[in-house]
Amino acid sequence: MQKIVSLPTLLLVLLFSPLVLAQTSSAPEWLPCPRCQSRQERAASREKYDVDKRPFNPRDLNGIWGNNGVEFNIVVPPFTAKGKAMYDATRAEETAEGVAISNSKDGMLICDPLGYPRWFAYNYGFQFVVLPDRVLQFFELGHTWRDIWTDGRTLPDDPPAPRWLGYAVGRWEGDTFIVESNGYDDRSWIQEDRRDRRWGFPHTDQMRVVERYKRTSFSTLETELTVIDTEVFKKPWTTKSTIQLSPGTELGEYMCVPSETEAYNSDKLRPQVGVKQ
Amino acid sequence: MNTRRELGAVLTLAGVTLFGGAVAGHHSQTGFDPNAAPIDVKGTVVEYRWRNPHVLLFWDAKDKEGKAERWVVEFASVASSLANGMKKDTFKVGEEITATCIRARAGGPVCAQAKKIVRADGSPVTTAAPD
Repeated sequence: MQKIVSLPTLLLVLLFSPLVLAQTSSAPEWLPCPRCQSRQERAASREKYDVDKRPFNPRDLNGIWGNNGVEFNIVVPPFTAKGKAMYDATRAEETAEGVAISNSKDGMLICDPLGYPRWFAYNYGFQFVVLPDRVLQFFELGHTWRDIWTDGRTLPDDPPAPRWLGYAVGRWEGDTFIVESNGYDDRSWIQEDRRDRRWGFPHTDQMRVVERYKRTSFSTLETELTVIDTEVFKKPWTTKSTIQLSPGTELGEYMCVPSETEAYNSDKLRPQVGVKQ
Repeated sequence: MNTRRELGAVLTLAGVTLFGGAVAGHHSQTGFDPNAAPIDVKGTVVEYRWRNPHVLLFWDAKDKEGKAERWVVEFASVASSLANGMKKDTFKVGEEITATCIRARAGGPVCAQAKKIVRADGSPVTTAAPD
């Protein structure tokens, strides 16, 4: 005997069919970049994603972290004689009237890569992506990434070519992810001198950086970054910080575009200080 | 008028935020006195450059002799400007605005910092994050 499906039953089946649910459930949306959120939006995101109470795996680095970078320890180690000379040479040029031309020696003004650890000090948020043999640390500012190799390799004793992002290896010690790196291109600055942006902190190609990352809650990453460059500084330069998760965001795209930067320099920066063009 | 918001806008342009923590910035802002008395510059928008490293606004105003001068003022990066409530269409070419700003010491038609911008109908333009 054939069973006849009643109309109400048929309607119920259709109502809960995957096709109908897909059409009526909310689709993924484009999320704001970490730096694009206002303070209020950031607070609302934290509440929406309940970040303060969620359980977490301390060995899970995934997520979008921060939106502004980490300012280096304001206590700067003493310079060596060579380091002081290098630092002095970063001073911005001046007009004939003695006005500093912004931070004119800063490679950022001509879209040189920020390099590392400057991308740690100044970024619009970064994201760790964990792969079987490496961890990618992706930065919105510059739309670039750093490879942190976790496949057991060691740092090169004599890096074949300098890199803006260096050569980096990582390992776990308990719940702390430790990154060591070398082989840096010496054209980058560690950071602009935020006490007075007319100067910047240089480094040599002998600089090494040691970082420690520890996730202490779902939304908190405790970090420690140490710069060691004995040609420039008499002591290591260590910065500790706490970086917050940026829930409800996704990294945008901020590329330093040479033509855009030159247009800004020409239309605003140089006229502001009276440079004749 | 929200004095704290306006002050926040000024300080944000200077690389400092009222609301805690220093905002990392691109450029060393030189060539102006942050304590100088601001001036009002009324004119017509000719370009609203919604681009990095800093959003720029250009507008034509008449100088003392009645000749058109092209003024410029900057805001934050595109991302920070979005956070501050600005949008890619905040300003329209052809609209009349009055900017209250600190002029660059060099004396040209350059606003080093805008304290506020109002439209022809007197309504303020949002350029800073709300309190």
